[in-house]
Amino acid sequence: MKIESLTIRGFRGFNKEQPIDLHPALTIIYGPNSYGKTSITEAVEWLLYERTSKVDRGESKDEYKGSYRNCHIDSAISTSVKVCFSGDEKKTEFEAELVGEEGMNKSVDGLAVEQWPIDADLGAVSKPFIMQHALKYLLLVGPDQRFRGFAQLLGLDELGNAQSDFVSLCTKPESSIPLDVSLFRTQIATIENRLSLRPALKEVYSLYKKGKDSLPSLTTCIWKECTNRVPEGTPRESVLANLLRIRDEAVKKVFPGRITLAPFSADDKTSDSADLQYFVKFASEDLISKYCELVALTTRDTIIKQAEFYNLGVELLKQQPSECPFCGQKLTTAVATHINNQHKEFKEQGERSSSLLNQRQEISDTLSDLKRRLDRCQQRHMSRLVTFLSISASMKELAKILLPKHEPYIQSVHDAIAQLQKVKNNLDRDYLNVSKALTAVQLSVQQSKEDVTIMKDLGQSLVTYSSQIASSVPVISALVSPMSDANEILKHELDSAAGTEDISVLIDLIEKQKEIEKYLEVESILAGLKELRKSVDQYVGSKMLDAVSNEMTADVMGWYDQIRTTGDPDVHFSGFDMDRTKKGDIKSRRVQIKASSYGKDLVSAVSSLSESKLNALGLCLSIATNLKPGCPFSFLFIDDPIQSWDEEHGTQFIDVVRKLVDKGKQVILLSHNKIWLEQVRTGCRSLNGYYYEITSYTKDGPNIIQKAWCSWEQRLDEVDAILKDTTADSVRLQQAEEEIRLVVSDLTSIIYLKKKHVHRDPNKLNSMLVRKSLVECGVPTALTDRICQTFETTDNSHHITDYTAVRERIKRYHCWAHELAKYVQ
Amino acid sequence: MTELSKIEKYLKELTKLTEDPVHKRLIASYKGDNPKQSIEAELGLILEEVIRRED
Repeated sequence: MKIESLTIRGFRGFNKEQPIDLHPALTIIYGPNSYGKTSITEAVEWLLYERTSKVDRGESKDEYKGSYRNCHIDSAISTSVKVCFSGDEKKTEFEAELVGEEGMNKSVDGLAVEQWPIDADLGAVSKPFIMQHALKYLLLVGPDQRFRGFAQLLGLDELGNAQSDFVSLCTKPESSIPLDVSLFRTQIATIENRLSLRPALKEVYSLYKKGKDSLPSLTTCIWKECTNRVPEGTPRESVLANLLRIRDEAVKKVFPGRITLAPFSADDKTSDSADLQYFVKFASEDLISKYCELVALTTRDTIIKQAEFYNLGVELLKQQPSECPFCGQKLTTAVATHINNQHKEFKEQGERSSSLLNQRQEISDTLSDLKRRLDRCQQRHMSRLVTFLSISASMKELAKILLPKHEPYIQSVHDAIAQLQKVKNNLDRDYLNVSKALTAVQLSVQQSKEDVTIMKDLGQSLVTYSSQIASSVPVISALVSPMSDANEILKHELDSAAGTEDISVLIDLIEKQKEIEKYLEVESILAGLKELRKSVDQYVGSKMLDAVSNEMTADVMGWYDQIRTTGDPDVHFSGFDMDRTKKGDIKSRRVQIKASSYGKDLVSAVSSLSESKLNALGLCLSIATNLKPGCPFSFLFIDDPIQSWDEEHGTQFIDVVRKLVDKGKQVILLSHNKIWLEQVRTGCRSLNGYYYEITSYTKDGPNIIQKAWCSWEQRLDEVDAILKDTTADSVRLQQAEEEIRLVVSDLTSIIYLKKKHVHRDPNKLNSMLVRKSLVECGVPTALTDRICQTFETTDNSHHITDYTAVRERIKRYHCWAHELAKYVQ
Repeated sequence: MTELSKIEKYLKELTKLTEDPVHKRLIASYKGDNPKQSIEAELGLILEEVIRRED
């Protein structure tokens, strides 16, 4: 892929849209510093990679935020870069439009695309841009930054990033350890710490420190120590119980109490959640309504008796329907109907009261269930508080044991007692209230004295009680850990006073055997990360070594030798390597740049080479990687390459440019050094590239003017020299013929400007346009015809077949060009 | 079968060089939009599995 033209609008230093045509071989752009040269390179880099290396490497991303968009551009105009690529005989236009501060909309030939249609992994090939800041980034930086620079240059940056990520994980795993694992580690580490302080258990500690591989020996050793401390012949299953008994008996003599505040288990939390939900929703509208319906049961007995009375009457009436069965009076139809209706109604009322009886039973059951749940909930919370608060009676003795050494702990126990006593009192009070309200409701049901007010009171007291429970949980939970710590301290002090420290540690080791096994496994995994880091370092190091030490060293050396001058002192770059440890392992992320002087190795090229040589080295490094196979780009932007170079090195580099062009690269060379660029044009005269000058810079952007590669006089002199050279071969003669075509185009453009005051780009003139222009300018037809003849053998289309350089013909062309030149003079 | 990306090929080679199953797991978890976060999460998961294991 070569670039035919690029158009920049509103990007970095560019404001107004500016198209720039690029020559297929060499384009030179001159511009003083800060005139927008680098914006050209960055525009293409941004288009291809969606970001520029300058922004990418900026230490403070905030400072570069929004820096792609030109600050003077009209807010209604978008920032865009268009690049017309040529290759495989077709042209493709890529357009990138800035979205927001860093986003990009892409289109190819006007059609939106997600990704550029480039058949290569752009992250894995070297970027076709050689920039000063990029060179410094490679060499004059710390080892890690240099490694990253090389990795990027060699397409190993993803692997380099992976290494950084693994190194970070392996060296600082703490941030990845979940909280429960951290707490678990702290808990077991406490036992380890106590074990380390017991001289009598030295052997156990030593095996413990050996980690999980020594677990069987550790277990054996622990049991051996345990059996030594219980009566001889104690069966293994009774050893722990014996140890506990021995310890408890000894400790109780010193102090019988404990600081025990049990944490809420998962079951506790589940039960609480279910109970509180039940309590809060208990006095529902439905329940209250059903409860109120029970009032109807107060008249139940009368209704039942009335129903029975009517039952009897109706039964008797079946025998004599027209007479009253009790007095024998005649019954009218109206009375008989009345009796039947009354009977029906009492029967229905009787049935309803049966259903109400069931309803009363259900409500009684519900109230009993509530009572059970309340008692269970209260018991669950109270037992924890009562157990803990039992220590308050022994605070004086506790203080004697813990003071003055552990004053903060005794203070924290005091505070906890005060807090939890308050919690207990509140819970007791609210439980009592809810119990009273419940009893009142139960009695009302039993006595058929249902009252909506007492049911609502029960509901309210349940809500208050639930709220009290809910607010007590975090208060208690917050104290669990400090009280556990205080209890541990008490335990140690009691063990110390009772002489049971060894037994106490052994009990913990046995009781927490499974946890200790898991702990050792966790520690083993964490310790093993060092090994993982080493594997990653060695692997990545070997990949980098492969990439830098063999082919790359030779390639870079080849280009470096091009820039060496004969007068150079013999202090030179001598290859790449990776730093190694004394054992020969590759050091992590350290690319070594070797240097030598008069056959002796120097410490490092970075400390030994002058800035100009380092600059040359960086340049060669970029060139070498850009020429590696697999790079989809045939173009190479070289931005201000000769900074800090002396004249001779600058001259040497002109050969490098020519060689790059010979190797098929399209070179775009940018510099602030006008004199050197003139030398490049002279040195590459035959390439006839494009030359641009940035003549000024305003808020509209750089003013870029295309100038002649060289003057038409120089070109005619060159032709003259070739024609006089009797040894000039067909290639040189062809070059002379090509020069004549360029002279003719230049002269036509100049004549047209003089006569018509209109600039015509000489690069875009062909035979037809030259004829038209010369006729318009009044050049005699005979000369115009002759001039146009020069195109017959020099236009590209005529070169394809049957072209032969004929010295006599070129001489004629030369004369005609001189004739045309008179119209300029 | 989808062709492996360059980094996937490297990680595959790296996995072959290690015998530790934990290390293999960590290397295999290096993927996604934020691979660093993925390996950190995987390490956390591995450790939690150990302490929560029922014996």
